[in-house]
Formats: sequence, structure tokens, C-alpha cells
Amino acid sequence: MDTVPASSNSVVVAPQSSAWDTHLQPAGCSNCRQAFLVPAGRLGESCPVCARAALEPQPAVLQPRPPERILPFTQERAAVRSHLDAFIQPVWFKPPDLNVDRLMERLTVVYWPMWLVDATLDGSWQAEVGFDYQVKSSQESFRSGSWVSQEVVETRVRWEPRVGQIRRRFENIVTPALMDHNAHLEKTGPYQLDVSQPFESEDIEGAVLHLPDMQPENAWPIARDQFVSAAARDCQTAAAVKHLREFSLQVEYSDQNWTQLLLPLYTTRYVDDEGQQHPIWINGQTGKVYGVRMASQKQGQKWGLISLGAALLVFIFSLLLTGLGAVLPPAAALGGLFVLVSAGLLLTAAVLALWPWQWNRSQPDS
Amino acid sequence: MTQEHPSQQPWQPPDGFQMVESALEGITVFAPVQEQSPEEAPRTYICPQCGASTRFDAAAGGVACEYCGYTAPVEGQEVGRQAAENEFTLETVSLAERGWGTERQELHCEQCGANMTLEPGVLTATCLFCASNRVNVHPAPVDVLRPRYLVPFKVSPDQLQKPVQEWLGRGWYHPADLKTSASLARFNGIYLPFWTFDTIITADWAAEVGYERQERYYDASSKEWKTRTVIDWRWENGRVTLNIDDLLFCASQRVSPVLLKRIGSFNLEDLVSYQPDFLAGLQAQAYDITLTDAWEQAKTDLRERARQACYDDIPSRHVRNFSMTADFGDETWRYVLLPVYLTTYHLQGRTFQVMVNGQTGVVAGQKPVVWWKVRLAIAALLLPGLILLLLSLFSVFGENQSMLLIIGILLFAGGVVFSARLYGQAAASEAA
Repeated sequence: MDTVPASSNSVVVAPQSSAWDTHLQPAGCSNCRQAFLVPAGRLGESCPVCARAALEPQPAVLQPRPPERILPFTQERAAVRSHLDAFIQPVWFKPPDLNVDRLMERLTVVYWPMWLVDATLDGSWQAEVGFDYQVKSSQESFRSGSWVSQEVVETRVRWEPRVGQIRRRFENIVTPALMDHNAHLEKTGPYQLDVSQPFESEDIEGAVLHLPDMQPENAWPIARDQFVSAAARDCQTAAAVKHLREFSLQVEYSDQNWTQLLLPLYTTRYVDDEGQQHPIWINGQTGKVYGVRMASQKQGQKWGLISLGAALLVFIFSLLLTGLGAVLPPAAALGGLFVLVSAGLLLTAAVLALWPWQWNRSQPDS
Repeated sequence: MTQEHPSQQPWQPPDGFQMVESALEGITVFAPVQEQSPEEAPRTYICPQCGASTRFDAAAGGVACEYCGYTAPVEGQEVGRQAAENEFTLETVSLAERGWGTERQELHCEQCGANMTLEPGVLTATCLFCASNRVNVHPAPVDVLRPRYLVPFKVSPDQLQKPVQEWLGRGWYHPADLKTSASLARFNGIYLPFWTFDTIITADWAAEVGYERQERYYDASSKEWKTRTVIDWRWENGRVTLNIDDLLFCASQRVSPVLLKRIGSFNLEDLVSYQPDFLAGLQAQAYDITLTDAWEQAKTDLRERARQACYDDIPSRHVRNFSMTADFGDETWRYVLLPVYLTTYHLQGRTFQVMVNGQTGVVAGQKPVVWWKVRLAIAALLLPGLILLLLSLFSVFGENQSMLLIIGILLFAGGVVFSARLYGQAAASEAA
């Protein structure tokens, strides 16, 4: 049916009850309004998505069937450590909490969801298909009083209409399950979806599962576009053509089945100078790290003041040397040199004090 | 990609579509039925009323019987310059290089049973025994290279006598009795093969262009200031685009290119889709200059046109180190048949050719020249100048000698120019 899938299949799981034969319980974040399945021991910990509030028990809406496929973590903890180390390395003045040991202590294994949709398409299609052909052309050059001909072969596309019927089942069409799916992908970078494995409940032991906030009825328009794209690819294959355009489909979608694909993600967090929590995400498949790296203004100011103090001391010393120059002329020259040194230290003090502010400005909004 | 809601009607492929092979189970594929070429089998033209041979009659605009008056209009679709053009695909170019072959073809006349032998590339035939007219006697080597469009004859043979007689009567250096004594043979209508070419030439040129400038300088020898012209050279470049539309190239080697040029061009707005009826009772020749050979020759001419266009683009007559690159783009071609009449006339034991444009009626041909008239005229042109030159040499006019010499030279030079032109025209009128 070309109809919105019924959400009546979903079930509500009460707090303190387990789901999908796992030891995970439903919980939610009061700040970002996201729902999770978490091990009972993690209730009360920071939200792995926003790190701004604690996870609290709450009911959750679930599909009765457990996830169908899962992308395994391919980044071991040691690799994650080195990725985090490289990630925070450029920050000169780190807040005390922004160090690899603490980040690793708070490392949380998270899976975030995508829908896997199956449906049978029954109807008709039409498109323009393109065949490559080559034409002979030429380029004539006139140099030094004579002509030189050069043959040019150009490939063009001849378009022809095609129509037909389609009755075909498409399985595991991948569709976003989170409203912020694209924002998530921007942060984590792409995943290689074709290496997914069948889901086993042991795979998520101890992990936090991010639950869809886009139910099938909301995700259906996107899923339908994905079905049209998949059907276009198959029709192109069926017509044995290299190019296809102006594809349109008139079909019924029947026997729909919605399950989930879980994507691996590590999250951790740190607290900046002002006590603000900042999450850091690490793609569990590629190791790409995303997060806001706040520099410590306090550290910058401290080192700036030290440099300023040193500049003052050197300046006073240079004045003494200049005074001594009245009786010992070379001392006056040395005094001039120390004036320059104190000026350098003054400049360094300014740079050290201002650098964290400038760095923090360049960071994306958390 | 779009998604529409399915209708409740059972699905049917559109008209003109047929099922083709699908590489995937669960998906059927329908493609447009390939356009079938019209039957090219030889066709005999016999009057359904009296059984005599029928032929295309330009005045009647259809196939007509000259004995009983039967006329059948020809259903040729007027396409004009919108006639479909073909690209130079590698496949077509490869097929075109084969040409029509050189083998003669045997043809059996269904009307009287006689056998005929046809030259290669002949499209029509008239039986020598029963005079029945036949069309499509020689199949094209490939479908794309059969004639698809033609300009029908607009002028009938009986309209030709008067203009040809008038044409014969024109010109003072031809025999005075040419108009009356030349015995004209029958006008043979023949469709000649032509290629038409379209292309857009983008020519990029670069050259050193010189600009004249007046300069004052001090001449030490004469100890005075003078003015002279100097040229400042600088590198310039530019781009010229030439749009070539329906360049006609005759695809037959058997007709005189001189006469063909003289009968003027054809108006391709009159192009109609090919129907064998247009050829009934007329001769038609297939191409014997292949598409690729014709295009190569046409390109030689076109690149020179492009070069001239580049020179025209340069805002100075001083040019050196000129170079250019002409990119031919969007090249297309058509194969068309265009109408001409051919005839000959005899005079004093010699045969002269005449060609008439079958669309416009423009006449061109060979004419005998009375050479003593030409020589006399040349002498008359040269003599005044020569006399003045001689007079000036012998100082007959004393003080005016130099003036006389100049006038004599000018008159003589003018005489030489006009004589050469006259001689060229006379020689050309005999040539074919």
C-alpha cells in the first residue's frame, strides 16, 4: 500500500522493565528529550547525546521486533584513546577535565538507530533511458601556413522512453530514524552500511541504545523516496542501460516490515572552566572524533600574568642597567637589549591571555 | 524521480510500445517499436486506366498518364529545412565508407519479361522494350544511407524550351544562328544526390597585429623634420563562431561541377519526404562520393572560410604569425535528391551540354564561341592604348609626350584587363 505504515505495531515499555530480551531499561534525557535503552546501572549518568542532563527512567515506544542488523564496533579502546589524544592535542590550555584519562573513564558505548524497511512494490514505472554512442568530429589547426587535422571522438547519450511493470520485494531499505539523523551523520561522518551483521542481543550488553524519535509514520515519506531510488536502480538494471532519468513510479507498497539497524558510537564528555558539560563523539567504525574543544581561559590568564610579571622584572632590570651606563657605558647597551626582551615578554603575555578566547570563538556551537 | 499513486485501471503499455528483454525478474520493460523503413522493393508505374506507363508530372504535381489523363497526387510530406539530420556516429561513418559498390545489377521487367542490366547506384529505370518506369531498382547499402528527402521537380520539360532558346540567343560572341540552328535533344529529368552539412565552427585565432602610427623624425641628411608611418605590433587573439546551415555538396562525380554551380542553389524549404512516386519516369542517381569523402572536402572549404572569418575579425590589415584552431561541433548531415534537367544540342558536328535547375528553371550550359569575334574585340580593346603609346614614343605631340605616355599606358593596361576577362568568359562558356 502506498499508505503510511501503522504505528499501532509499536509497544510502550514501562520504566524498570526490560526490552527485546535484554537487560536494558527505557530512560530519557530531560534536556534533549531523547529516549534510550540503558543498563540499569547507568540510570542517573549524563545523557550520552547532550551531556547536559542525567538519564532518568521513563516509558519508551518500541517496535515489538528487536533490531535486525547491527554495525559492529571496529575501533578498539586503545585506538579510541589515540584518536582522543590527537583530537585534544591542538588545545594549548586545556581545562583540567579535558584529558585523555578522564575522557576514557567516561567512554560510553552507544548505538544509534536507522530504520530498515521491507516492502513489496507492485505497479508500473516509466523513465527515459540513455545509451552511449560515439560521434566523430574534428579539430583543424592552422600553424605556420599549413593545416593539421585532428580527429575527435565524442561520446553522447541517446535518450529513449521505457515503461514497464514492477512487482518486486525490496528489503532493508535504510531510512533515518532520528529527526537529527543528518546532524548526527555530519558529526560522526559516514558509516559503511554494507558490513552490517545480524543483530544478537549480546552485542548490546552494557551499551546504551538511542531509540528512534521518528516513528514509521513520520519516516515513511523519506522511506518512500528511498524505495523509489532503489526501484530506479533495479529498473535501470532490468533495462540494461547505462543512464536513467525522469524516473516515475506508480506502485502499491505492501507487506511492509520496519526493523532497525544500529550504528556504533562512542561518547564521552568533559567539563569546561565554567562547569559546562561538553559531549565528544567517536565514530565506532571509522574513529572520527567530533566535539567542542574548549580552551581554559583561566589557564591562559595565569600564564599571561606570569609572562607579564617576568616582563616587568626584566624592564626594571633594564632600567638599572641603563642607570649603571652612566659609569659603565657597555651596561647602557645591555640595558637597551633587556628593554627589548621585556617588550617580547609583554607581547607573549597578551598572546597567552587572548589565545583561549580566540580558540573558543573558532569552536562550533556545542 | 517521482512517485505517483497507482490508478485502479489494469496497466497497459502505451501504443507503439513492445516488450523487450528484462535483465531482472519482477520487472518488465517496454520500448517503443522501432520504426520500420518503408518498403524499398522495385515498383513499376503503370496507368490503372489504360495500362500505359505513368510518370511524375511536375505541372500536375503527381503521377500522371500522358495518354488518358489519369493523375494520382503524391503523398509527400513537406518537411523543408526541418528534415531530420543525422549525426556522424562512428557506426554510420563506417557504413558510409562502403558506398554503393561497383557491381552492375540485373533487373527483370515484370511488365514485359525483359532483362536489363543497371549501373551501380542507379535508382530508377525505364524498360527499353515496354517503356515501363521503375523506381527503387537498387537497394541502399544501409537504411540510413537511402534517400529520405528530395526537392520535387517544379518545372516541367515543356516549360523549358522557351527559356533555353532565350539562353541560347544571349551573348554576342556565340554563333548568330545558335538560337535557330541548335537542335535540342529531349530534356532528361534527373535527381542528383547531394549531401547537406550543418556544423558550428568555433575558431580561436592568435596573431601579431600591426597598427599604423605616424611618427616625426629628424632626417640628418636633409636636416629637416619629416613624418613617416611606423607599425606597432602586438599579440592579439579572438574567437569567431561560424554557423554553417545546409551546406550543399553534390555527391555525384558524373555531372559537371561548373554547370552545377551556374544553375544556382536550391531552396531546401521545398524538401519533402522521399516517395518513389516523385521518381517515376525520371532518372535518379545514388551518391558515388561517399559521406566521409564529401565531408572531408567540405571541411577543407569550411576551414578556409573560418580562416577568412578570423582575418575579418582582426581590426587591421597588418597581420603576421597568424595561427588558429577551428573546432567543428554539432556536425550533422542529410542525404537528399535535387532535381535537374540535362540535355544536349548539336551544332556543326559538336555536342554541347545544357543543365536546367529543376526547381528554379535557371539555365546553364556550354555554348560554342566564334573566336574571331573575340579576337577582334580584344584587338579593339588593346589598340587605342597601343596607338597612344607609339605616338608618345615618336614624340609626335612634343611637350605633351609624357601625358600621352601615361594615358597610353592606362588605356593599354585597361585593355589588357578587359581582354583577359573577355577571353576567360568566352573560354568558360565553352567549358563544362
